[in-house]
Amino acid sequence: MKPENNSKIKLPFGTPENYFEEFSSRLEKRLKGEAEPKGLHKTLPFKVPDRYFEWLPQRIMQKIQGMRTQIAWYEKIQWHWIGRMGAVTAVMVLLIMWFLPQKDTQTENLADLQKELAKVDKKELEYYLIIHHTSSLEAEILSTNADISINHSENLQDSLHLEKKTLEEVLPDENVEEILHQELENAEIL
Amino acid sequence: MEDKELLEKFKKAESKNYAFNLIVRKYQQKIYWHIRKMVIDHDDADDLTQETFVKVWQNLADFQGNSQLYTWIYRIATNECLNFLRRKKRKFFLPIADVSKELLRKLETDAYIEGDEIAIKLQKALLKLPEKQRLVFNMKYFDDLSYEEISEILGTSVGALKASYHHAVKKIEQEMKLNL
Repeated sequence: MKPENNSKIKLPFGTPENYFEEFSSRLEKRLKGEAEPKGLHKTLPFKVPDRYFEWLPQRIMQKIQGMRTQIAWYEKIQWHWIGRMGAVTAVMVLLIMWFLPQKDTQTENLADLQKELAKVDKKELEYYLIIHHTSSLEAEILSTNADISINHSENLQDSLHLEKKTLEEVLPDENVEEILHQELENAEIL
Repeated sequence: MEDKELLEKFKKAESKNYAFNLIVRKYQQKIYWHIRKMVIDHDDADDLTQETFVKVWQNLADFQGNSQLYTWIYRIATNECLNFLRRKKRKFFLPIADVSKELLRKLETDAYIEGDEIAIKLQKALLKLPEKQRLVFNMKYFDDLSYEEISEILGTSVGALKASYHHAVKKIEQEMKLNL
């Protein structure tokens, strides 16, 4: 039986710190095939400031609280800015609308159109509308004229004495307007 | 208090701060030392430990409980460490060897290093390992985590971890022999 180090016979040998406390776990690992580097012990060469771990939870909580306050501060500032920017924009829009010269463009355009139309020869206008008979407004204008009563394309075709076939033949022709003019004049003469 | 109970308390508004405080007290040392072994410097370790627990606070409500709480916290801490070392490399355009040199310098100059010669030699040998091998070695050798737990933390297979640990042990033994 080997003498223990605390027996009366003193041996000049020492063991690393925690050698016997860690022995069983080292043996277990060796049996499992999880070898550890030889001649080492698990002491770390690091230390921490005094009472570091006592204060750490409090410092972490302070950091979290600070972070929450910071977020709340940003949110508050953002809302303030959004509110202020909205108010300033509204005031600016109102001022621009107030000081800008009022212009009724629609009425001006209609007046111009009427002036331009007064210059155009009535006959010429009728021809134009007959040729470009597409909208109900034009048809309405034409229907007020007693000489030319054309409410739809069939009536127009009849009044011009045009056969459908003849019309189809001339439609691709580029001079279709001239032909229609001619036909209309003939119709009036008759 | 068990982790399950702590999580239940954390979910209630009235006991949220209390539960979190208990979680920090329960895991702060393990997490601090895990980080410290990776970054060496106390101030960096302190900063990263705080960051880890801030992230735990931010994400704990979404913690599904698919893994154990401490392996989840370990994973956050490990990511913090790896990101810190990556940032260091990027910031100073340093190759990995130079980051190790800087950590070695810290090992010699940091105010919170206690002079156990063999322990310092081991740390110096560890700093010559690739980051992932160093992580595996630290978790297995110092933290006594099982391969399954390390696998959960690092997302690496048990087989790969065993190989990594084996290589680390061999390299450390060689390095220690050279420096004796």
